[in-house]
Amino acid sequence: MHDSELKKLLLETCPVRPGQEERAWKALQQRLSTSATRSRWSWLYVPTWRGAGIAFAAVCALLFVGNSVLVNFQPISFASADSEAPGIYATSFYSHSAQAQVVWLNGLAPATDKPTYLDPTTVITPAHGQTKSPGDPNSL
Amino acid sequence: METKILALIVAFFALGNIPSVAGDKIWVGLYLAENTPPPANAVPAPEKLTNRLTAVFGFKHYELVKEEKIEMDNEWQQWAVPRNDFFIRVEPLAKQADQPKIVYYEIYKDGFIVAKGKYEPHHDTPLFINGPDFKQGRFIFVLEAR
Repeated sequence: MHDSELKKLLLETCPVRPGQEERAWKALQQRLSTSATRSRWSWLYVPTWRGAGIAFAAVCALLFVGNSVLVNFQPISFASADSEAPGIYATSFYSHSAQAQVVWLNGLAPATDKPTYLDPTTVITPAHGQTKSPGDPNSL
Repeated sequence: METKILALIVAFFALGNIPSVAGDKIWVGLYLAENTPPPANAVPAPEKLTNRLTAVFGFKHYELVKEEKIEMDNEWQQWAVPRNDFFIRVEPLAKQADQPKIVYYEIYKDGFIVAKGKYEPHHDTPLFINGPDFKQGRFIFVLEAR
């Protein structure tokens, strides 16, 4: 049986009532339009120009923030320090609060104003305004 | 108009050269940090330097004991000996092309070397070297590009 014969047979046995096709088409359109409504986050998984733009902006913002954080917390060092004596610990760091490089020596024996075993070097007369501790032979 | 443009160009290049001119010498100062006020004839540290030193060491007063100036162009050892028992040797290293100027330093305590290192002088970025305690205070070396 050909399609045309089948269609003719169907029209004779089950005649289409007036307006039935139109109503069926409208119902189908309503269903299609309802299912095609996109959710708020559909741009995340559906490739669109809007999603690509937002993703690009987000990546740029992340790179900018990351760079700023790295620059701020990157250790700056203009000096190095190595210990040369047992018991002495030398550390070098940059002080952001003082905006200065610091070399910290731990373990140094206190300086004294008592004569050391070192031969006294040539005595230099203090310049104007410079003080010399009275009775401190180590101060030149 | 042309004069103004020329002046602007000259000023621009002069501003750019300030750090290099300022870094021709290394100023070395030995300060005695104390919490008690120094004597009247003492030379205190400038206010800006005092604030910076306080931020690191916490003392209230910084009295200049002695100062020296080290020539950066003279690439041989130079000494700053403010005391018998605590002094520093500074040696400007030969400048490499496209590299910053570096100075090598050694810290001596009681005649023996206790630490050594390298310092890259920068304009307005001094180097503080924490020295030994002395009485109620502490000796601090300050190296600064000038």
